[in-house]
Amino acid sequence: MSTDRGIKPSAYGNRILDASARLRWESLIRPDAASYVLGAILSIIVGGIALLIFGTAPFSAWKSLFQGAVGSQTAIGNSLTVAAPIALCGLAVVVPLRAGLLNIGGDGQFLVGALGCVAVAAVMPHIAVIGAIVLLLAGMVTGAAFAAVPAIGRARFGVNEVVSTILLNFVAAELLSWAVDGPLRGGSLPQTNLVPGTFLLPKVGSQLQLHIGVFVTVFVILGVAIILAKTALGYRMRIVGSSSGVTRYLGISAGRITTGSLVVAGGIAGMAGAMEILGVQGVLIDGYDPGYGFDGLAAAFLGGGRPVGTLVAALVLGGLHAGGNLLQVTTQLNISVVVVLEAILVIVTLVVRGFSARMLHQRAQLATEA
Amino acid sequence: MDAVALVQDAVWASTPVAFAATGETIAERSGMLNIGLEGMMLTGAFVGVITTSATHLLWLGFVAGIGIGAAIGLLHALLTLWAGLDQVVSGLMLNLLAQGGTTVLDQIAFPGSNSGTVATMPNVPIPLLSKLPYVGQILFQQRLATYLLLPVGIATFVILTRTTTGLRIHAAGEDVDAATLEGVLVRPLRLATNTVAGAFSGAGGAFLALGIAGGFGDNMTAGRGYIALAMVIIGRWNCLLVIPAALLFGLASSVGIQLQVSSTHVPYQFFIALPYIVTVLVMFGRVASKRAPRQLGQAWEVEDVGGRR
Repeated sequence: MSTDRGIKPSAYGNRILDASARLRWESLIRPDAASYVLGAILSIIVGGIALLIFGTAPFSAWKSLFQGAVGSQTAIGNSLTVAAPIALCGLAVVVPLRAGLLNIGGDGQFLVGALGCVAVAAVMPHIAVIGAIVLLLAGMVTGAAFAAVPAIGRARFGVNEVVSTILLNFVAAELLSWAVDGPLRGGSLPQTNLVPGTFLLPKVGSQLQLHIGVFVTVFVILGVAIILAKTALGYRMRIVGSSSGVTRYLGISAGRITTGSLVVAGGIAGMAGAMEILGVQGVLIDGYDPGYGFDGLAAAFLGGGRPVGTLVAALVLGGLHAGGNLLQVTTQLNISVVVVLEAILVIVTLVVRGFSARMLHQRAQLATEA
Repeated sequence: MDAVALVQDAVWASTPVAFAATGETIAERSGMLNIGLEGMMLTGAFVGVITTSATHLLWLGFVAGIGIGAAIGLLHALLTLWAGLDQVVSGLMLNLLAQGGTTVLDQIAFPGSNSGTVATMPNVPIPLLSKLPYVGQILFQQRLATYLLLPVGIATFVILTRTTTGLRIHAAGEDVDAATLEGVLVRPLRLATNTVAGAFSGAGGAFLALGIAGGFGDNMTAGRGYIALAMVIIGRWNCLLVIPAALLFGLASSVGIQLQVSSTHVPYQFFIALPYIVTVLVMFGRVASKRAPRQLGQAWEVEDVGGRR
């Protein structure tokens, strides 16, 4: 057992990396392409069974989904637009995961970031480009501050971050509700004033209608990927996350790394919230809760806990969401059917990946013994 | 504000969380982390409502909720123990599955706003004991399911600490290798504890729908499953502490409702958030022990020890 005296290993967070130290590490490093394909096929089948239970013909349902996801330029635009916040929220899971923490508060950090953005927008002078950047930063700072609570709780008080981040999601939702109903209320409706047009993110492509935040997202993900994989900081995070206990001897402050990673994650999720406001919503309504935090969680798991993998997974999930909108129209099913299919996708894909990694491992063992 | 009625309401409101937390204590003692409590509670609630509205039998709905909870607990155990899925991933994804699934099925089964309103469990005062001052109203004028809590809690405590099975569960949770070498069949044991945890959560969820709310609402558990997880930590994995800890949630909840009614200056959102804030604060207060069962959440392969499957 590790006895790192800097910070006690979390029973929850570090176990993921401990577990991955065994058979699953191979599958995390070298994804087996075939297992993903098989996972996708099985997910479609299992998802089809779920759709049958919901009383819809699976084949036409999946056709609607694909059509809504990639069937037209508008559809692709929708998929990418939804994929962006999911990818960022996935990043908000990946970064702390590298340091051994599990951040399930992405949803709350997202909402708080949106709130911060709108709050600042209400008092800021209308300057075009700088204004939008300031607002995005406002979202980032708010999200980071919100994540600082569970971060400090974990580092200084040993509070389990899995439980604290989840509970704070609910607090964030109520905070948003109060703010939008009260101080930030725009008129008679429980919502803020419309965000001034000067701050809204410009869109690219007449049919794609991609707001530039989508491109920013890609850069952020690539940047984080490089930092995690190629820099000393990323290396230090990995050491902390491995809970091997050597951080003391290497002069690494585990507490600062874990706190920092969670705060950064909050910042990323908060920025995603601000981006959604400036790029898509344009206003904050009471009850706004798209749940991108949990989609981001799914994307992070699908992506094997790595930034680029998360991006790819987010694209898939974005397509699923966009397709789900069309599905809702054609089948009258509740939009939550997307969440069901999403969960099935993650479970089935990871199970297949686990089995294939185990098979590869056993084959490798047999090969060396022979 | 009648203080006695307040505590009575608190006991009533904390029953679902107490059930789920007790079951989770058993599972975590054996080393299994079950974050899917939220989903199991929610599904238990939904199935309970469906069953009761179809059969008009409250107790059958309650039992059905227990059953579906156990089934999902079993699924979680199979996914993690047999299919090798990480326990946290499995739990969280099952939660998503349950949240989405119940919402979709709710709309199908009860179209329109009438989300299957059913009669709630009646208050059943225990004949003599309910006449006791204060304690009588608080503890002995509750629903039948709430009365179950105390004997179930004590029985669980006794089983966990005084029987061989309990010892095996502890062993599986503290040192799996040693346990296997001593002949403990860890995997079937964990399968069983997880199914039991699921059953308890299903019971909690069914009570939430049938004993408190009188119907189903989308995501009606609102984080109670996660609060139950916190209660297990706060209660130091000790059944006898976990159930009173769950009362904490109930108190915050009922006090919140009372204050919401009587206070006009504080926004109502604060009172809704109160139980969550209180729970997080208590966790900050270092009341919780950091002595988690050592094997908590760790994946483990039988081959590593050379034990038999």
